[in-house]
Amino acid sequence: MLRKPLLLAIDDEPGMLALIQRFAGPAGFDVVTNGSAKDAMARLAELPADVALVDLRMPDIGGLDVLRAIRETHPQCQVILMTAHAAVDSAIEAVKLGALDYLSKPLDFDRLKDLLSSAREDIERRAALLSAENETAHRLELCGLIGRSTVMQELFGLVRRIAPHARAALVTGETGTGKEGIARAIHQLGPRRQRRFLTINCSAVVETLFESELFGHVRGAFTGATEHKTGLFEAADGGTLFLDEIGELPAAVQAKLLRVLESGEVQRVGSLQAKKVDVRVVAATNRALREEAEAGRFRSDLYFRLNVVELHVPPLRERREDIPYLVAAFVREFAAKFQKPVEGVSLTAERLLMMADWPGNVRELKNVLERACMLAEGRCLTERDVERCLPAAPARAASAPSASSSGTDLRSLEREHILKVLHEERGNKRAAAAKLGLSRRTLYRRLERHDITT
Amino acid sequence: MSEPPRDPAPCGRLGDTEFEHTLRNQIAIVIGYCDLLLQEIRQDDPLRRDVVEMHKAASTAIAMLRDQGESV
Repeated sequence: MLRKPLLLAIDDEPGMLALIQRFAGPAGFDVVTNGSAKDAMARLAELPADVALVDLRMPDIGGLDVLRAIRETHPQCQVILMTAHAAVDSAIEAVKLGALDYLSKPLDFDRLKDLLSSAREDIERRAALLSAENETAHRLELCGLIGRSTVMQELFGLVRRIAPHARAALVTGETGTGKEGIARAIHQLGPRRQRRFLTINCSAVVETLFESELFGHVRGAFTGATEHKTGLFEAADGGTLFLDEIGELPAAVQAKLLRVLESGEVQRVGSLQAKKVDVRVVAATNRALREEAEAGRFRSDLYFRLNVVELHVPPLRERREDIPYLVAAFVREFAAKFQKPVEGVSLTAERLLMMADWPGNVRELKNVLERACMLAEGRCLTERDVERCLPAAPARAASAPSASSSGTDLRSLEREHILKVLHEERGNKRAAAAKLGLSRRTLYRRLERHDITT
Repeated sequence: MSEPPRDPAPCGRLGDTEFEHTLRNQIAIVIGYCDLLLQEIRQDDPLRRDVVEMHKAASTAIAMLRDQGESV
């Protein structure tokens, strides 16, 4: 740690403040003193104090109130209260509120010294841990993907082994687990890293336009085809094409895709000429594709063609030990993005994040932290900062839109309703579409129209 | 807090908790500085005995204050 820890001393008695400064300075602290509790409270936000020494009895604001305020704004700051009249009640109250200790005046310097040095060790240990974590974290990352858990390390190992060779791969996993990240890693680590990586979300394309999107078309191939169009396969020639939500691919297109994969040739719609393409295909799905194939809803020959290698990304609840590292990375990212001084989360907030269910997986965790960082005021996200950003109880979510929707137009009403249903279905688009009476594809188009990112 | 009250009849004011609080704080400061000096002055320094005496007197004063406070 480069900077000295900062001790904030608050007492209405200037002689006492001078005495504390005289003692704590040589003990290795930067000392800031303030003779007015009111003034100190107003400045708390800009004072990154590590330890605070607060007088219990002051004329403007009591020490317990200052303690409460510090616990609120600087949850990582240790607070020591001091008093000329030791009283059992206030001592108990202080400890309940999370004070480190309660000292009576005249101050016992030996005890204060012990307290300060233990607080200092704590601060240094935390700083050391954080920087060590950064180094280790980098070693254990895969193209920016974080996963220290055994399951993720195994997955990363598999990605590293197959990336140089596999012509096709299937990435499976629940929504929000980071399937696209894995696909990108395969691309990055393979021989095609200099070439393009293109993505298409199969559930977001209108059925009739699929062929044209994937394979292109020539002018006059169909009504509205006024120009030649290069398909994604041609555009990704030499690189990687990522087919997200492959389970949503219409049956007719499945057949054509299979033919392209087998022959390595594409034919633009309306053209007789076949063109050789060299594309690595990575497909992803949150469906149990094998079962879909067995039930006849997905072509089994295509399934086997894609499933040369299957990479399963585990849901977040099965790798909770990764949560602290993901949290640290996201907090860093969003603190920089929103230019906030947020450095981490409090212990209780971390516990809350560790225990949550995360049906939306890493994406949901990321969204929660984005919101929390956006709204945060201190250097440390507290339990409350996190709690208010976690998905609300269904009852609360259901009542909110109706209250705010009075007097709005149909378009925003639709947007709100979609958001509400998505929320209720915890981001599961298929379930949300069913509830809204829409096809999944239509829902995707609405999401796009309303600029809703999930 | 400004200067402590200069009332000539301090005994009559001892029941006043505000006065007592301030007085306690002032003596605590004296004791605090004595403690610091005692940590810094070498054992064989002749000045040390003076500081010990100051410390003793201030400690007696604060003990008397405490007893007085309890009897009020």
